[in-house]
Amino acid sequence: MRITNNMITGNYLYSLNKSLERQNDIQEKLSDGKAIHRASDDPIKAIRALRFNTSVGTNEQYTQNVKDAISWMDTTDGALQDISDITARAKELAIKAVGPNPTEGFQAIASEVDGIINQLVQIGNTKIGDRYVFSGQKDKTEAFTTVKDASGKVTAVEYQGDNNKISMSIQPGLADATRDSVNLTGTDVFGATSILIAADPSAIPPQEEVTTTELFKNLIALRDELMKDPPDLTKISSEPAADSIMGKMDVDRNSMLLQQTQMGARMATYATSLSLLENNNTIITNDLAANEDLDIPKAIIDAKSAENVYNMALSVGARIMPMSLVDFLK
Amino acid sequence: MRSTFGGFNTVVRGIFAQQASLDTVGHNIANANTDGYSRQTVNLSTTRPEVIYSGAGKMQLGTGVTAQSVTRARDTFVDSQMWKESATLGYGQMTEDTLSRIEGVFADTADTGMQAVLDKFWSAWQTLSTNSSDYGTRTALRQRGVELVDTIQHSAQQLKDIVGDLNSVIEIKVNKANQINSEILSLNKQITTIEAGGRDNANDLRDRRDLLVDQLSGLMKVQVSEDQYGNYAIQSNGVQLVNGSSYTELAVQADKTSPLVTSYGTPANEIVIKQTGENIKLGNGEIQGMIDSRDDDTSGIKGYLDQLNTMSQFLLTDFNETHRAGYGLDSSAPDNTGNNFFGSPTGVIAAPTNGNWIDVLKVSSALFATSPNNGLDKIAAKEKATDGDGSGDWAVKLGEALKTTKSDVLNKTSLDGFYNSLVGALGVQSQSAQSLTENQKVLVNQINNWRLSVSGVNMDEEMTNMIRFQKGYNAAARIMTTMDEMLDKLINGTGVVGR
Repeated sequence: MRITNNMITGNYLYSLNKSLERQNDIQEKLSDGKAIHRASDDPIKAIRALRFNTSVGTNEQYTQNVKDAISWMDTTDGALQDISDITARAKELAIKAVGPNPTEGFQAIASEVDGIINQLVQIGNTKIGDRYVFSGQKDKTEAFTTVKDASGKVTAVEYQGDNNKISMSIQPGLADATRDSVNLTGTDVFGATSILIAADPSAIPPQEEVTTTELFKNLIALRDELMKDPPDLTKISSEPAADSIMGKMDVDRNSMLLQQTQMGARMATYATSLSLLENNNTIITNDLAANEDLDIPKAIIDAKSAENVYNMALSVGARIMPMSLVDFLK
Repeated sequence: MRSTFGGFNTVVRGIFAQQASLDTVGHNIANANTDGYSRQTVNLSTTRPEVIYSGAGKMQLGTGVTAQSVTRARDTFVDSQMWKESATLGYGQMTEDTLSRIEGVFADTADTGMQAVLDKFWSAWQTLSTNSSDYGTRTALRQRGVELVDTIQHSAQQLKDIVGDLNSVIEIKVNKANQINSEILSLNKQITTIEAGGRDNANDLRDRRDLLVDQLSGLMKVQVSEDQYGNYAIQSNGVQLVNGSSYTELAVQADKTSPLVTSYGTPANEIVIKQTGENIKLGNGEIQGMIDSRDDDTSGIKGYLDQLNTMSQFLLTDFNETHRAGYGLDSSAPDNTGNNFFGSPTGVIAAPTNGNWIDVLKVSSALFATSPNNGLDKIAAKEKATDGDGSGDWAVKLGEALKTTKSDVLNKTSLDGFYNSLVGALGVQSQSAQSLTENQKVLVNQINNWRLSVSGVNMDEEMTNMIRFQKGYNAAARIMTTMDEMLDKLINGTGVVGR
């Protein structure tokens, strides 16, 4: 083949350019450690990168949901612990009341029970952020409000929430109240609701319908009984126990404790889910890295060899390019 | 009997011929780096011999040399190869170029871009599901919706901007083609005039004309034929562009029927013959490459606008339908259900008459209302009217509608899946355009080498020729001296007897 000078320069420039392109490519990859910068670099990897990034996002979201759920349940659990302690004290007081007491003794017990009622209302209104944990789905509504008479005595405690469950889903798919619910409603903890007429002499009309829960109804009944002179102790404790105030308080407390146990079990499940999600996160992040991260040692070797090729081309070019017969003619 | 001074003529012819050859060497060297130049050769031939008679009879006595013609070294087969392949290369380069710009619009491999925005929108629904009565969470969600709308519309706008760029480049290229064609016509005329006698070769003009065809062949598919007078007749896809007497002027004109215009309201140029207004296709080359990469339904900008349109349509129809089925915050308000998240506040959103859903897409203005109720109340996070405001079950459902629910609008995939396949298809198209163009470049390079091998100037060769002709000139001059001496002897040294 006849070779002409422009062929040599043309081919030389073409190869030199290719070599520079290669260097540029490796440089781009090395500069941020990513093997793909646009979908056409590797379409399969690009889609996988999209999916993995989405998975990371999904996983982070579910992790956040689990954390929210756990913090909700922690708050609930703390409140339940307090309720458990306080209702235990209420029972002690009821037992003490059944023993022989002077009138002042009944009064003292009654006022302590009154304090307990107020304390429980306060605990029933436990909030996480600005959400009432025991209000069911009406989480922005104060769970328990008190109805007081003119003397400031609490005559009834009204439950304002509903019996619906709040779900925080921690896995793909639709929310499922039995699986995903994190809250205990006021009725779960403070007993079933019933409607009573609160006696409030100061109000006109002096009576109103109030939705209250068993626990408060029974505690108020206990307090009111002890306030009487003399109190009818058989109402507080008698056989069959189920009919007496103390018996009813036991039922309330037991159902509350059952809820606490179940809550504990749920919390354990969520803790497991959390560590599972965190493990997943590690796995997906690794996948993501394996998919789009550059094999650095290989890239550096490639960069070096591309650089060598380039240098070699330059030096060879410098040597052969100007050569022709012209250089030798005198 | 030969003439006494006849030898001089022979030598002079020799000197002239060597000089002409040497001049051509100079011309070759001077033009070694001229684009499109083909090396020239002086074709030497012997002159008509003189008949002399001797005792043995008549004989042919050589009378020297003459420069018969100057011709260029050119392989027309290589030229036709070149013109065919460079049109394909031009087409491929434009396709590659446009696709890589579309890739820029959907730059998504990092953690920014459309996918990230979709993910964030989904996350916002999930967060809402855990805290649905919270206005902060609702505001954040609404903002994510706005962000998604902005991203889709911004991407569409970027695609339209590329269309605008392509339109103006198409116009520039068409003007360039017109200029080339008119120059070819003028060269046709000059060449035929020069070559009219049949003896002369318009080498340099032909080189220039071939170079123009080279340039034209990058722009469009060309078929070149040469008539008996030396005119190039050039056709592109059946359209006569140039012949010996005229050229066809091309023009761009707004395409009124293209979906780009009717649906997306962006102007699109088409190529017409200026005189008749007839719409033509150029088959191959840069111009057609730009038109196709703009208009193609799958790999063109139009195709990608369609995909964004489909995504918008999904949000406005299926996603809205799901949203309408849920309930907003204030259960007592009669309008806490049946609300759209995107588009007009309520009801099924009718298909736009021009088919452009992208422009219709926006977060429902009702969600921004501040009175009589807070618009944020209308975001449907509840499944049932009886649910409390803390219920976020429907928000989960809406999140699923974005991630996993398959929709007929999206070719029976989910929104995520649809976008994934968009990016995948784009990557594959761009990658294959790149490798095709790369291969085509190698091929064109090869053909160019082939051409240079025939037509290019080789310095060694020229130097060798230079020495050859220099020596020839020297020798001829020497013969002249010899003859001079002979004649001197004859004239001045003989017949001195009796002087």
